[in-house]
Amino acid sequence: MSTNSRIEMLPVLLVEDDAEDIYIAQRAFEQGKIANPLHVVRSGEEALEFLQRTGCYVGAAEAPRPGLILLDLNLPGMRGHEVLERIKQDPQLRRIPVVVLTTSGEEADVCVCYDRGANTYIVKPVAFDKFLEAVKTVGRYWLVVAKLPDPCEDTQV
Amino acid sequence: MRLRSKLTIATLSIVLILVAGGYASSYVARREMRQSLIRATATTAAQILGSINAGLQTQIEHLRAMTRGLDVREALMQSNTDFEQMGGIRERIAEVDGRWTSAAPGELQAMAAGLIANRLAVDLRNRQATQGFRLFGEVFITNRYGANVAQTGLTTDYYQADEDWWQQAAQWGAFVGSVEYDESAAVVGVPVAVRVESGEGALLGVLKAVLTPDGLLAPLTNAGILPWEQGMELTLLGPDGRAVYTARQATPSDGAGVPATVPLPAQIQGLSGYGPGLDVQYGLIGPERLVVSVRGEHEEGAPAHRGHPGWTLLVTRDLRRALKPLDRLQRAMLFISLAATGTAVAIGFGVSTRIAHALSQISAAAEKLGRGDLDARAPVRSNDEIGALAAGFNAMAARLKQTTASRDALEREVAQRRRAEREREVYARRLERLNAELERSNRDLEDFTHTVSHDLQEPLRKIHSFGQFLEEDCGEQLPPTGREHLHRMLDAVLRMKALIQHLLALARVGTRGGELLPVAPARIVETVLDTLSERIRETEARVAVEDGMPRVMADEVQLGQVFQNLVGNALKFCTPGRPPRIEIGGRAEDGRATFSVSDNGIGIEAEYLDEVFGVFRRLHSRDEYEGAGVGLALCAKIVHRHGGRIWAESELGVGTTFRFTLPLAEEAEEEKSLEHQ
Repeated sequence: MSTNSRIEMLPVLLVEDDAEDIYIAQRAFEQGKIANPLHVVRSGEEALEFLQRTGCYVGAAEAPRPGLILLDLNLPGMRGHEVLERIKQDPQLRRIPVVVLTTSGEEADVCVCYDRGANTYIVKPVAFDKFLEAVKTVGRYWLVVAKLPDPCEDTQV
Repeated sequence: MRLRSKLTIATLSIVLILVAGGYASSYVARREMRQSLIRATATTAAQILGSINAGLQTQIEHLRAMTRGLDVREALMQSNTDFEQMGGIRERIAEVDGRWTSAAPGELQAMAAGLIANRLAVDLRNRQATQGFRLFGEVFITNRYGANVAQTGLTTDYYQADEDWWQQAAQWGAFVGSVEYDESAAVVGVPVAVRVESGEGALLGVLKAVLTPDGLLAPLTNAGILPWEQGMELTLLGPDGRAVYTARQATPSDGAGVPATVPLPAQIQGLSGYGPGLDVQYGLIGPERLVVSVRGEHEEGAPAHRGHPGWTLLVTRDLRRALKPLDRLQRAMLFISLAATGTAVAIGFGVSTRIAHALSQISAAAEKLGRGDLDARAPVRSNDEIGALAAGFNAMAARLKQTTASRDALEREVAQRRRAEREREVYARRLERLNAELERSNRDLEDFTHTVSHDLQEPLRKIHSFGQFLEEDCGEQLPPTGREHLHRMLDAVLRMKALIQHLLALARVGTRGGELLPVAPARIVETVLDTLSERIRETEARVAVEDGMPRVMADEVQLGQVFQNLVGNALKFCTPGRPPRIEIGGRAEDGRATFSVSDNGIGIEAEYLDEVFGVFRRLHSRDEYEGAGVGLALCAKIVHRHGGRIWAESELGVGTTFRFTLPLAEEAEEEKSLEHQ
């Protein structure tokens, strides 16, 4: 396990409406021994409020800037594609890596997501052990291996 | 006016003109012939008169010849001498003459007896009887003193020197008198007298004779000129206009014996050109009785016996008889004209009827044609201009019909095309609608597949995840059968997931298919074999690929799927203990490419050869052979999408050959280039 405290500190935002999926994800984090705090929002709108610290998320303490966003495409209301688009169009947010987690392996979905700036696209495997593997790999890559800009500095380039 | 009437009138006019012309010419001919008849009659009359004159001269010459005889001269010389010797000649002659003229007929016989009976008189009578003097009714001779010397008959006087004829003959040598009834000779005759001369030319006396008409005309009769023709009369008139002779009657008809006066025409016209001294005239009694008069003019001062004696010859003839042949000709001409007219009218009527009939038939046909009956035809009955007209009309009608027919056909075709175009438009709209529907349905299908891929898999994933959680969290509390059931459940979830994946793949053949492009199958097969290389190695399979497979029009990815599924099947369904032998081939046949994948595997029962292409159709249990039963269905769907056909041939336990057809790239390219042209 990594001993880098800063990295361990980086929260992960999961955008997912389905309770089972939230549980599965939390379990995967748990079993994958990913210590980063996992914040869960249940809709696209809520995700944007969380990220922009608006609505019920006014105040930095309740809504820390995540180091990684796990985004489900199949959301009620604002769909995942749009959430992705908004994030990537927002100068404050666009450097945050977004991993699309979805059951759709449709080529069109894949292309659209990458076009709109998704950093990774993962089709959720049916078997949990496979999913766990994927989450561990992704978490390890984005949270440990990859060098990302410091979200606290808020520097505009 | 009807054509028939016009033609008939025209024919009739021509015939009438011909007839009129014929009549005019015949009239002219008749007139000319009449004129020439008149002239010919005049000529003949002049000839006859000439002949009569010639005959008269001949007779005078006869008489002269007679006077030259010695006995005549001697007798006269003797008488003259006697008178001279006696002396007192005048007184004596006057005394005898006085006696003679005053004597009764019976006494005169006695007085003249000596003169009639003397030698000279006897000689004269002999000559009269034997030498043709019978033509002379009476002949007597005087001496130079005018006293009778000898005579053949009685004379009424004795002294002749006081007579005109005696003086004329004595002075000029001859005299020809006018016709008269000679009482002494009791004949109608012409007195002629000739001078009797001595050899030296001295006057010896005068011989007088009375020439009878028969004598005058005898030469003509002898020459055959007379009698002339039936109905023709010949009359000779003396200078005083009395008839000397008529051919109809030998002697004048009146009982007194005086020559009759011949009636002459009221109008007389002169003719010329018949010789000098001939006065020729003609006239008509009644319409057709021609009288030609020829008169020999006695020359002024000429001796009486010279030239014409001043006689007139009248020739009367009936012109009708002469012109009879001409009249017959005219009648024949009239008959012929009438016949010709009749024939001409009949022919004209017939011809015009035929022409009018033929023309009316043509005109009726034309009228029918005009009313729109394109089958109207005129009968062609003859080989002439009307036939040609009818034939021409028929040809025109036929062409018209043809033109109309082709025009109708054209119109029909145009209408048909319009209809077809409308139908095409309708179809095009329908097609558009169908296309839209198809697109919508494709979108629906896409949505559906999207839904399937997302929503159907979601619960599966969760079932599987929570199944795993169950095993992880409570596995130890479950009895072994419970764990076994849980595993089977999780397996089923995975199979379900695989089925969904296949279904999606199947659905994507249509919706996610790429464009059909020319591709080389050899390269695709190579890739497929590369992909399958591990399984090939595992199964120890031997794969042979035919060279020169034709290029085809295909979606490269899908064609790869087909080959992959077929080769995969061949590797899968192999007979245990027998390494698979796979042959891949392809060749161009009948304008298409036919590919084949053969194996030496387990084979397929004949009754299932078609069924193997059904979706999720399996012939074997999963325990024997893995698979969802989608591979061949996918192949079939792909091949069908390419417009091809797929089928299987198999022998159980020997092997199976899958064949499928695809469009050839060359043909498709050719079609494309043709379309561009």
